[in-house]
Amino acid sequence: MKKENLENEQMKRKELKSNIIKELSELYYKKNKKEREADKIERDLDKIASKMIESVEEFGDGKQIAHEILECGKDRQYGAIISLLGNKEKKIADTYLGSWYSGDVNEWTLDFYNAAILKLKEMLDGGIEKYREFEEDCLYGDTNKIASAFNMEEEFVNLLVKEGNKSDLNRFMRTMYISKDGEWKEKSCPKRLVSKIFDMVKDAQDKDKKIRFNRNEIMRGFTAIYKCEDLTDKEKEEIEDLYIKAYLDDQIDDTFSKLIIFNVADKLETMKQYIQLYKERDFEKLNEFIEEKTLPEYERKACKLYDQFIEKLQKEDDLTPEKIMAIKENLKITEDLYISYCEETNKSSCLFEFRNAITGLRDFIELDNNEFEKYIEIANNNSRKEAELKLNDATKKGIGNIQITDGDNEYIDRIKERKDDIIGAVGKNNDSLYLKGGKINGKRELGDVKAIVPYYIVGKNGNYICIEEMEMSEEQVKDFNQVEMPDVKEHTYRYRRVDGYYSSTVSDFQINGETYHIKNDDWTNDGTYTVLWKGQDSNYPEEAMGITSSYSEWARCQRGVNNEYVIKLIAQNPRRFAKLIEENQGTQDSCGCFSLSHLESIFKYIAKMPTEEQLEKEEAVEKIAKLANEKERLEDKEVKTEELLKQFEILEKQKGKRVGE
Amino acid sequence: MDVSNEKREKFVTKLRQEDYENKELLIKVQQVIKESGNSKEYISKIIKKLNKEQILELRKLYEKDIERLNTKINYDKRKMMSLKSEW
Repeated sequence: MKKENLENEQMKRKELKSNIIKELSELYYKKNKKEREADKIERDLDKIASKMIESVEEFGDGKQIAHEILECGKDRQYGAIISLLGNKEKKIADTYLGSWYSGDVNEWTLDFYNAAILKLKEMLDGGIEKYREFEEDCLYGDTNKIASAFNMEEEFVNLLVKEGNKSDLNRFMRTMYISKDGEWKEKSCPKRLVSKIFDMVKDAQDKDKKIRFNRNEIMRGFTAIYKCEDLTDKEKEEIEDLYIKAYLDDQIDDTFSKLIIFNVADKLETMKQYIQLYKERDFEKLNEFIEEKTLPEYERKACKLYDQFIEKLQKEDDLTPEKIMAIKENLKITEDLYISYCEETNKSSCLFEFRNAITGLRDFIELDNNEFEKYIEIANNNSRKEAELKLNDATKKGIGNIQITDGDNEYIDRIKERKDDIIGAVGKNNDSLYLKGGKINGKRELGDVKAIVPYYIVGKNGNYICIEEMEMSEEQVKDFNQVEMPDVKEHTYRYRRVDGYYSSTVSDFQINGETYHIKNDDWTNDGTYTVLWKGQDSNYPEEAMGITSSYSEWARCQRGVNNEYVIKLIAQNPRRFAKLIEENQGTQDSCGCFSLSHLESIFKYIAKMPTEEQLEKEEAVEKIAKLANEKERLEDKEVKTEELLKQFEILEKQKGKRVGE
Repeated sequence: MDVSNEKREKFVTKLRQEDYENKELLIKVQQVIKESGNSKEYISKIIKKLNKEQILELRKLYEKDIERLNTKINYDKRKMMSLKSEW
């Protein structure tokens, strides 16, 4: 039977080699447009295969090469083969490679790879002596790396156990690697374990059973068992035996190593059950089993994470929604903690979401979230209070003391569309206070302005921050816009225009030491508008400014405003308005008299100026500087006057003496 | 009082609002302003620390001083005139 198998095997190899040569011959012809003899192709194959086998040891991981050649795309296949060849062999290999697009790279790669496998099989056919010679010739003697690169670990192990000894297997189980210092070092398997493996493989061979072998995976399992603190030495030995047997019989996979590292109860019993379940290959049942065993640890982690989170929240003095999110972000490593809100039941729960490290499946643990909700409420209330304070502060300051720093022409992030009645914001943050209103209505009155403050809250639907807005109440709007109106008197003003004399009723009022005059119905090309000037009557029209309630470009469409609202605007912003009039002096519209502005635009413009308080302080600086200079001047004058008086008194005394004489 | 620029800066930072109710300190402020050459920049730094009432107090102090000086100067002038007229 065995002889038959051997003969079959030889035939298969011959057939494979013949196919490889045939394929390479076709590839050669495709590229070079001429034939190459079979014996030359065989020689080329031998050179390339030998070089590939020789070079494998230089690489970090044999399995990586196998992966790139067998499981990756053209680029990496080509790269893997080329990286194993010297310059001479590269030139030879490239003579067989035609166009990339025709799929030749895959064929080309596998031909050389299989040729190397055939060469290794030939070597193994030579028995243990041939193998030992081969091992001697290797760069580092790391035959395991060569075997794993060509997926031949089972064949190598079978030979070593059948014809070799435990020392051979011991050398096969070690690996060479490059340390952090850049030196080649050796990592070996304990002899006790090598002995167990040897005996078990021998046993399988005697029963004519196939084995599965992957040195790295086996060592991962052994390392996991060795490091396991929950097992006694005796239990470790028992698990080792079960593990090797199950592994060689292909009745276990890499999840064994992951599970044994994990913190589960009754570890020995658990691992035994796992091995038994894996044998049955019922993966659904196996996943359920793993989830059941690992859940207590995840529950413990969930509670720990939750407690850590609450502890950090407790330590914050002034908790805000942003701080809650920042603390959560810092805690999160691979797990997530959030509130889930069910609209139907109106119930929220705190969920700990995690990925099971062994099954890779995502799952949830529900925690009692009363504490978390409590802190969310505190944070949200703090945010609301802050917004309230901002509104109260704005109300107290009044409209004249709010300065817009972010204009209405920019999209304000928190408001997704441009709104026409937004005057502007104080600052560029999403939670900056902004002003709304100040629009002309049908009665040509300027509407009240109100302040709105956006603020952050932690939303019910999960762990996101939302923005809500708080507006001034009606009472606050009233106070915000409130101002003491001046007494307004009227008189008739007779004035001259280019086309003759006219009389108008003019309203006069005083604000902050300035005298203002305002009149309606100044006309231009059938349109009319309101005119404002300060100082003497005769300052009209040269130093006046026109105010309109119409946005039209056309002069005939201009209309004035309700005077009371202009007076109110000036009373709310006396210093700003005075500055505006100063800036306007000398400017003219197309009709050549004075500038014309829309009342809304005037308000928006002055809202961007320094506040009344700031302007008042600027005035105070000017005044005090003037007073200080005046005082200094008078002090000098006093000294001089005193000097002069002394001189006079001396002269008086001298005069008095002469008279006395 | 010979106060260097550094000392003046320290003076401004140490000012507390309630101190301005103390007239003696207002007098010190006047002296320091004088030492700075009545500089608007320096005056502005001081004004920023004050509220309305306190700025008013400082102004009144200057106005009183100016009134007092004007009175003294006028008195001395009248005395000189009377002496002159006797000759």
